[in-house]
Amino acid sequence: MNDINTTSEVRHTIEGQNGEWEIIIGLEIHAQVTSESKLFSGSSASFGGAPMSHVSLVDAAMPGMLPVINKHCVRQAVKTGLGLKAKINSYSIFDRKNYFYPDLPQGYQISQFKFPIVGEGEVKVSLKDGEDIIVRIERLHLEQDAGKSFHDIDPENSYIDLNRSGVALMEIVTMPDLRSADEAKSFVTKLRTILRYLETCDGNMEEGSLRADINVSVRKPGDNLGTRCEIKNVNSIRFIGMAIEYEARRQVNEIESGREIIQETRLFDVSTGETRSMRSKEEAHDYRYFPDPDLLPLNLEDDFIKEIINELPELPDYKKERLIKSYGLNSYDADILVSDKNYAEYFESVANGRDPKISVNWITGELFSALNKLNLDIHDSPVSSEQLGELIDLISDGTLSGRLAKDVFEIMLETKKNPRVIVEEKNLSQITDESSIEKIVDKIMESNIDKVAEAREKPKLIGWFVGQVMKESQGKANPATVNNLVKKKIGI
Amino acid sequence: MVSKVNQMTITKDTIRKISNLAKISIADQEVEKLESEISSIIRWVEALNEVDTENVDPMSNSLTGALRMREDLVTDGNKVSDILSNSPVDDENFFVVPKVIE
Amino acid sequence: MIDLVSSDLVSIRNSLQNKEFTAVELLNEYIDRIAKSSKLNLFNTTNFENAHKAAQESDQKIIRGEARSLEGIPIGVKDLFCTAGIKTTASSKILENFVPAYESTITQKLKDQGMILLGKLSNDEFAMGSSNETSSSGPAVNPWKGDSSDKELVPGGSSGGSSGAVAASLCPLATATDTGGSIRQPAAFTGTVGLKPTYGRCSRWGIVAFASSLDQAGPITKTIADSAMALKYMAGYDEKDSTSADVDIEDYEQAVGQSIKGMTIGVPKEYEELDLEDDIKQNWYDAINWYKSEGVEIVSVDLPHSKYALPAYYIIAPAEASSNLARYDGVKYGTRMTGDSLDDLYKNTRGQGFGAEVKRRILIGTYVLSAGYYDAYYLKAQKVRRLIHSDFVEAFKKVDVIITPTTPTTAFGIGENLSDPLKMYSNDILTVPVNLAGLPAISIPSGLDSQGLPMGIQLITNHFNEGKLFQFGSVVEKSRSSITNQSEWWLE
Repeated sequence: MNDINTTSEVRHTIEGQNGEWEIIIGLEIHAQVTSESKLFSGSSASFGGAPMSHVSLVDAAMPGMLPVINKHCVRQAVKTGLGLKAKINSYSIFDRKNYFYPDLPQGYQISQFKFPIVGEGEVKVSLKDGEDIIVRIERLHLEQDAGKSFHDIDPENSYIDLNRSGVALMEIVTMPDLRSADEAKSFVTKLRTILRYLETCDGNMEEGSLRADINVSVRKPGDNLGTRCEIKNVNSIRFIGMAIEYEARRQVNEIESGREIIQETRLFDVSTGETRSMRSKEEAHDYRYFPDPDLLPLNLEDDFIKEIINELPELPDYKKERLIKSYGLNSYDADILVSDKNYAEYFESVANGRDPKISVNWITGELFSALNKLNLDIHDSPVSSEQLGELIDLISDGTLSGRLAKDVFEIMLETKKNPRVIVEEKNLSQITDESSIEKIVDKIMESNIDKVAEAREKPKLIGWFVGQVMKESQGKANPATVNNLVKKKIGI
Repeated sequence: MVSKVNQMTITKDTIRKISNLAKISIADQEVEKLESEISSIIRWVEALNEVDTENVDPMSNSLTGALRMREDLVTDGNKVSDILSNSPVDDENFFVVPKVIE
Repeated sequence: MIDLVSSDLVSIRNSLQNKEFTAVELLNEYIDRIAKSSKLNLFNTTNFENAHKAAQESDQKIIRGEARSLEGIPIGVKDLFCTAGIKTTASSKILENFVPAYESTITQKLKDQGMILLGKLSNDEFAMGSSNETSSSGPAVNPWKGDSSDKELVPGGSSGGSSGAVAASLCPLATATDTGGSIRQPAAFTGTVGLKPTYGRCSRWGIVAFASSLDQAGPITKTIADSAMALKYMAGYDEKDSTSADVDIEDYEQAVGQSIKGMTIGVPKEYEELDLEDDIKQNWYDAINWYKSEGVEIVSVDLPHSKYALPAYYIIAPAEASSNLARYDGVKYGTRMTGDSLDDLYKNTRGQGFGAEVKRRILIGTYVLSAGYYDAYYLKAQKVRRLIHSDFVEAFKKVDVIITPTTPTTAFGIGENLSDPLKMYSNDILTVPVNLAGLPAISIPSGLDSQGLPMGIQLITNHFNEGKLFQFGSVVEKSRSSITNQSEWWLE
């Protein structure tokens, strides 16, 4: 493989004692397939459940039990492959990966080794500095998840629950194209967005729906690839970054202290932020992969694949392009909106027939900060896109000033009422009628004659008068009209 | 003439290594016997090296059809007692094994 | 008093439905005879109490005119078929107390037709053997003995309990499984009819797996008509088995004895060079002549790769077995041997739970799949398997059926071949190619050798053409000399 040549540009380095080091990162992402039932059995694939309640005889590897594949999981894998612009292999094979572990009831995991269902693809990742990089995907294959071992229930024993045993996973393997913790984090974020657009994985890292094995090595820029270590099963984007930073630093220190990197599997310890060797694996695994004789090769008909192509949603890269083109958004705003397809959907609903810039500002400003405070997802927003649109309309037609609109928005959040209803109920509509405003201005000036004189000398005092008028009008007076009238009356 | 695959000799270490992979305890006195038995069986199966298999696709099943797929429906599960009824040791519906040290 | 010795499946079915005797009377006769036959050591578990209840229900159904097709017929089941609530051990110490909560598809189908389970029949441990000597309950004994010898003989294997029980008239039908000859070879050794259907014809669901790509269930019976009747109820598509074929079932019963005039039978010339006992070779030639006199055209066919079938089989079957038997680890079910650590638990459980032959095959299978050896052994064997398969495909373009002896020798003495695995394996030289090619084949008793021991002729035909085996088989049945076992030496 000529991985090194194709990504020879040095994008990021870290400082060692004697010079710069480049970090080379490849990821193996385990993404749980969104499905009702398991990959090879009819028991529930849903998260949680009482111990052993989502377990069939097949999942428990009872003698004579046989696997039958879930069509939907195959579709999901193909769909994901298409979302990663990857080659779909119409012929693929399920292999057995043999090893002993108590949460692996069969004594083997059904996986795909030589002939995966999805081949090479790519993901475009936008970095913080605005630059885009392409991360190549080596392959995607389907496999079974294992059960769960609990080591903390009993001091002497480990407890095994098989609820997850047999749940469908997609293993997505990247080429070693990532060069920093930030790049890796951005990649996983983007991948998760794509999976969520496709609805093939919920991307819920707390529930373990998305986990990463991270391959890290370091080298002097321009050198050949160094020896890599694999950090297993990291389950949050933040931890992925921390693990890479720690591990790269550790490897640099090792090499600079004259020691060699040993190829090994390591664990990321969340409590210390460090990686440590899994010494219990004293002997290299020999998984003895071979085609599972209980299953025949998977042959995907053209029509099967075509049908999935037709169902593909608009993916984030295309959506971004379209948002920029159709709404004149800048790349920054477009990135925020496409990072979650519900954002983009909300935006398009608000911006329908309205000013896109005002719409995006309200969404990424007031709405996001409110949702953040309330700890709500956008689809649970107390303010619907129709309501926010109506609010923007009230601003555009002059009914509400920007300030009033913010007040109304606060009330909308609390009451979920439509903005027009709130404006009527609270009699909040803006006073734009000049004679009405003039009366208030006159009243304020009459009772502050000394200040009027003063203001002629110090024009800054105009602001004070405007404030008084606004206060008197309970904020409803059109600020621009007030400003003009005050200036006129004072004679500036 | 088909070239012979390089000779692979089975030693006592081979027996220990594969019995470790297969998680089967083998008493020291058994190792020697297995070494000779398995060696002779492996030598015997090496008769296959006489066969020219150039351009022959491996065949892992005599059936020629494609893999049949089932619909994504929850049809199973919720049979905890069936799952645990033969368990050597269980507690609170978990299987229990000696502590696994990571 | 019912004459069990001269009864067969068809006659018993007719007698029950004609109310010549009741299901309870019949059952009692069998139970009585089984009790007197303990010297043969054929049953691992008996099911008499449940059988009694079932027989009473069957009688009720017969009286009410609601009899199902096989109502009230007692059968034996190889202890490899899982039977709900009844111990299923695979004749292994590691499963000695295993009671499945589920019923295999095959036994369920037979039950649904009204058959009654007498008990579970001995076999070689996990079906690995050709003599039924590796059973954890000790060797099963052949009801046949040589004319002038008191030597106890093996009933063949791995389905020796099944063949012995039918030969000793302890049941009119026994289910069995055949991975490399385990139905046909024991049938030949005991003067019974053993049918190995096409791979995929009968469901494997609920049958303890040995080598998944080769295992196939079938019946052992006294006659070809019985075999056809049994297959009718055992065959069929099962959605729970991904290797079960959705192919129509022929009218097997109707095929029995149909004229074969003008059809062709193939004689593989390579088989003449095999090391066959003289009587067996002569019997084979005799059988060819029987066909000639029926107006069948005799054609020489080439099966040049068949001589490699045995070595290929002894790579493929152990490889699959090494993985299939990984689930017996003492964690979820079965025997557990304790140890200080999990690793000790595994190794002690499997080291003590499996017998010598099973361990030997697991080790061979582990070896041929392990890193560095996969291509040289496993992959090579898979390629040779294709060549063997292709030989048959070519041959069946020319002929309807291929005829061979079933075994190179007649039944041998208990203990005679046990110390020499390779000699034991050579028993399957004529049967193994059929499994590798996935073809259907039948062994039919074809006469007695000079010691008075039964010999068998094997007929092989194309995939899913079992009907032809019954059609052709009748010729052997009617042309052979008598094969009645005169001595019932074992009865107590």
